[in-house]
Amino acid sequence: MQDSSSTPQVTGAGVAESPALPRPGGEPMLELVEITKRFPGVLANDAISLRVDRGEILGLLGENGAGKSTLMNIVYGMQAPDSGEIRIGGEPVTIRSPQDAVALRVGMVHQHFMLVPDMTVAENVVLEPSRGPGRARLEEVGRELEEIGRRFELYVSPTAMVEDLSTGERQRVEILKVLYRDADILILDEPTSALTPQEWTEFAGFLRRMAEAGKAVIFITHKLDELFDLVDRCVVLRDGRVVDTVAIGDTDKRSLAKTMVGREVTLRAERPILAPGRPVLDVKGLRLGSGRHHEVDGISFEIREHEVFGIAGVSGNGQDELVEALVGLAQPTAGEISIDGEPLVQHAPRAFTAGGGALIPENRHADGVATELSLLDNLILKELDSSRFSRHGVLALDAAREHAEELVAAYDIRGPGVDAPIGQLSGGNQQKAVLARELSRDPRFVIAFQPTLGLDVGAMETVYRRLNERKSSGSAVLLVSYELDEILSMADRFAVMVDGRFLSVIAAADADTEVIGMLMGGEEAA
Amino acid sequence: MTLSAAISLAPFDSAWLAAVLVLSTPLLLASVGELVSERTGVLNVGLEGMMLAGTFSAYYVAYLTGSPVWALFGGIAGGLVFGLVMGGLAVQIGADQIVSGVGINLAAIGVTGFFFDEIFGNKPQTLVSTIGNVSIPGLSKIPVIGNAFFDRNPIVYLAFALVPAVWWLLFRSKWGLAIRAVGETPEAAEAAGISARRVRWLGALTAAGLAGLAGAYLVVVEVGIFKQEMTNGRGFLALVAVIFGRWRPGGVLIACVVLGGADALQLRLADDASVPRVVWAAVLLVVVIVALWMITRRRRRSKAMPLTAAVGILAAGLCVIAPHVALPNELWRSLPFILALIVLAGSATTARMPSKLGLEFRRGE
Repeated sequence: MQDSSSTPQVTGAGVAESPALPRPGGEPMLELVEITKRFPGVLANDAISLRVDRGEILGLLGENGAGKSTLMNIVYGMQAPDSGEIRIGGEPVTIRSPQDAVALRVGMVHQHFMLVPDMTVAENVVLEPSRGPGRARLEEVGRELEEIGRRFELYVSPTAMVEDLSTGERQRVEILKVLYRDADILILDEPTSALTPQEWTEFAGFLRRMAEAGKAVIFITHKLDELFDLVDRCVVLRDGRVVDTVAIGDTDKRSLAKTMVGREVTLRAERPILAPGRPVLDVKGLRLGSGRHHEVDGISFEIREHEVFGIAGVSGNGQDELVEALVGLAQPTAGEISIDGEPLVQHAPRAFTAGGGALIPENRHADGVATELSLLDNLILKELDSSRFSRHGVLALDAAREHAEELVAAYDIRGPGVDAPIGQLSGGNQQKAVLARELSRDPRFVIAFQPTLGLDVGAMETVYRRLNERKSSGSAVLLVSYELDEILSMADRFAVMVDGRFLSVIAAADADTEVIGMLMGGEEAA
Repeated sequence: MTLSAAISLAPFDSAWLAAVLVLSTPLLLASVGELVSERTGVLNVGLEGMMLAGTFSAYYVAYLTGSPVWALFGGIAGGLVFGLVMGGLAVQIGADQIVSGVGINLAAIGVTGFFFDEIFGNKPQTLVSTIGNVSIPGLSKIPVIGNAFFDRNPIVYLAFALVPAVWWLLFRSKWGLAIRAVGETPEAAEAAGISARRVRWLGALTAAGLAGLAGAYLVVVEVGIFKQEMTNGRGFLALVAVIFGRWRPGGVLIACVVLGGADALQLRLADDASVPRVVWAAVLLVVVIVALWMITRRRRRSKAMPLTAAVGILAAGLCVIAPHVALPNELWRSLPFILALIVLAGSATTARMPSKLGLEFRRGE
């Protein structure tokens, strides 16, 4: 095809007309017209146009790196667009700083909390640039906050220290900050990543009240469920462009996911049915902790070749400790772990790796990658002992680089290159790097602990595919997850872990969601 | 005859009180500035150097103009020169704050020494005019403390007035919110539209200016001359005072008075043949106060409790026996530093430390 000569078809090309699927009779509050932003090497926003009306909650959907955050940072004045126009209430405006945005009644809730833990709620709310030292009107602000809290059913004590608040309460403070400044247009950048399901329900109810009160809300997410819960209309971004604007009523999750990722995605992984081979990992009577309380209390299981064994359960029932004991980070007080029939004598991560173990840890930033190190360094981190990449303790950088480039190609790790710090990669690509490092060593068994935590649909699919590949090539896989769906779609057999014990081991074929839910709540099966 | 002399509280008499005020003032000036700076996240280890620059420039300005008031401004300017260096390195470029600070300390010794030799090297030592005391009508007539507290030079009043002023600035003003936010969570401040870099510049310059003023004070109020390295570790004591004071103005005030008090005490005792009984009694009193504080704060089970008890018993014993102890001069002179060391070891807590103290902040990370 002749890419260079073909003209891209853009909605409303050339004409400064209200873009994309306006709702009939809607009163536009915010319109973006052909916003373009280029970063070195990336076109982050490519002529993006969208509008949001009074009283509407607009979804903005896209994978990590699709350009959602850049677009909203432009609206909030944190980044300047290269070209394009922003209109508020029909009037073209220039937004150079967050102060400009606030003056235009645009408010933003960032993906990560932007709160000072050491200050009170009221202090966090009044925090703003000021020419003079000026008295901070904390009492007055407190009264106003209580008033706003009553009006929108969003109460937090103005004198509470933020560090003492729960995640849900902190989220409320973020919203209060925006409401205090009388924002009419609310931008919420993936605000729910840290919320529990209950907090989400509460939060969604609140957003609906905001819309009813005549505000316009832009809700950024990569979680499909939340969109179906909340919004009417959704703009889908991919690679910096608007690929579609859909009415939520006219679509379903599968086709929305396809639009977002750009190809057919399986929301549930296809589980290859294979005949299990010889036992690889054998755990007998494993026990951790001392005194009356045992974090892991006499657990036994066996995982064979070509098998995925799942551990389901609610967080905090001993899963952390079990995984730590298996990989050698914690010393079990009783029990035995054998690999290929050989009892593990030494409990150390090095012995785990040498025995053919691979770990995809739950906390990627703490245990999975060293964010300050380059992608290259991270990819060879576990093979420093082997003679492959070092001679007498001196790194063989050429061999390492070649190996890293191969992995980058094979695992489709996208980012600024192997020499850039891995922290600059998106979460999904960091996880791909972890998979590349762990699985390319052809491990005998793989421990995957919450391997899709915080990933978008595309990256989740990659993780599932790679784990199933390992299974097919003969590894034993242990999947520990708090997402029951993940266990049900991936595991051949699984156990429900409650209070340091396995309640029952279930073959996937016999799984009954309701019974498992009851088990996870700690009720013995009848 | 005054009451204090009658029951022989010497060395804890009116003159000692006066000395406490005079000696804690430079510490207070420098550490209040450092407090503001550290609250913005800039750890200014170069405090000593900035103070030294202040002493020299104050002396030079006083020498040229003959005016001690101009000398004070000269001192501030001298501190600010190194403040600009600190800001440029640590805030603007994002260099390591501790390395920058150590560099400034070394540079200040060299630069002041060099200019002093160049300008005054072959001249007889000149005594510059100093600032006299200002007696506050009425208050200065109060027995015992009147003269000590209310017949001092104006900088003393300024330094002590700075404490509530800085408290108000930090905890009741919009700037204070910005300062604390930048020291704790700069990204939150930036999201609120505050320039973290600008706030940190302000912090670094505040510390530098006040350190310069503290240096000028040594020349223009205390001695009227300049000696090489004459700040003699006061800048480091001021750094300790901020930690001891747990990054709060009231705490910093107490810390400075304690360190200044130790300094005043050593001046009084250095030439004494033996340590008077009343000193041991004072130690006992301090220990009792500390113990009571620990008990009321429900820190009874703190690890420091047995140590406190042991020191208390020792002090009580010494108070009764009053042995003939003659300490060498040098040991007395290092009393404030020994005290600082004990404070650092004892209160080595980072509980109230600004989270981003000493750490670089770059926008968009």
